[in-house]
Amino acid sequence: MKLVPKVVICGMMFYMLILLSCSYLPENVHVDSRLTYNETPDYIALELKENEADITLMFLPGGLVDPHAYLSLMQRIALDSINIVIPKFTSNLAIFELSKYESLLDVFPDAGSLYIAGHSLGGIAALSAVSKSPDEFDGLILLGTYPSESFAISDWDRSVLSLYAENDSLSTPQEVLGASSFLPEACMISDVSEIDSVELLSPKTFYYQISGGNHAQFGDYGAQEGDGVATISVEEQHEQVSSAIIKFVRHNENY
Amino acid sequence: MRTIKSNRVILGCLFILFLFCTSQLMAQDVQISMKYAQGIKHNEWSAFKGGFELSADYIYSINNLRISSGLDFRTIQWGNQATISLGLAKVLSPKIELGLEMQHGLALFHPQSLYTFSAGANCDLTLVNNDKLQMGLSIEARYSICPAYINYGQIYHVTEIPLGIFIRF
Repeated sequence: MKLVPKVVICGMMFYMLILLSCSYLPENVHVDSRLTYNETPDYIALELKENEADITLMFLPGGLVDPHAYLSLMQRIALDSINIVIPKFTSNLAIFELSKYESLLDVFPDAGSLYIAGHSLGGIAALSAVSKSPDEFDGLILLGTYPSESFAISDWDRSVLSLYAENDSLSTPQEVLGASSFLPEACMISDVSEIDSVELLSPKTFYYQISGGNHAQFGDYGAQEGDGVATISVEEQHEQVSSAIIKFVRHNENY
Repeated sequence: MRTIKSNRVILGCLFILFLFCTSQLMAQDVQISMKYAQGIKHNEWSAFKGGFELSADYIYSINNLRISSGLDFRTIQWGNQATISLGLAKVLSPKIELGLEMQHGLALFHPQSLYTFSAGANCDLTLVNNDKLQMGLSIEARYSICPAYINYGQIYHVTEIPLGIFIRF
């Protein structure tokens, strides 16, 4: 092969690779002074100072989103005495390291009750973790994502919280609700406070719609290509999401 | 949306610069490399998984010196990055080369990519050498930094030991 075609082929391949591998940067990174922030090459950990929480939430970021883009949401939950662990993934793609949660379980042996959550592609990785190690987790939280048949956990004996946004064009409400047969028994709620009134005698999947929210505002990384337009602010969406997660975890701990 | 477009313009310029550099060198060999980088230091000394790297370089030989220029794509602590590399190596024997390399480029982000820089020293060991191609192993010590990433994360510079294989043809 002549030299110039070699250059062009190599160059075009790189150019395509580059265009497909840009991650979303956080809009805002600020950590509340009441929290301890610990970052390593493998994870980011948040916990309330002078507190020994016995609940840990492992949160898997969405695909090609910088993990710091979830700090503003996660610290709301950490302030309620729930320890947060956000794993970092190669290329910011959780799907490349589906077993990473296993190594983090060794890092946090005293995690207490362990919940796993994920946004978008991170939710698929969380579903994969639950499918693979169902006994490791006390609950699952899905943000703007839904399972396919290959990650079905309808017979799992723990509860699930599925949060979806009204204006999410990447995981639409119809798609999320359409996959309900792959999760434990569905329980629709229209207000977060309704979670407390549901007896968890059998595992449930709580479905809660964030009115006016969109896909990108589950994190804090600006607009995402292909997403709908939110009619509420990032702060409002984070407030609703964090309240729902805290309610779900606290209620689940009573059973 | 405008910043995403400007990102693509910058990346396109990098590509054109790569073509320009390689054509000016009147390169003789193409080298394709794949590496795994073992992290050894970020803010503190510790072993950690670095990332994977794919690179394509043109190599021009003058006596016992090799000048290389190419494109590198790799995964690193701050995500993915694409850089243009420039290297100079001394051929110590038909099998061993020692060299220095630096890379300038972009950590790949929406809406705006961030500048990144790397510098390192490498040793290439050629294991197969015939008329059509050369194959071998490489080891390197490399420092990388993405200065603006300090605004987002605590780990914005790393020292790694990339280990890899290369093919020249």
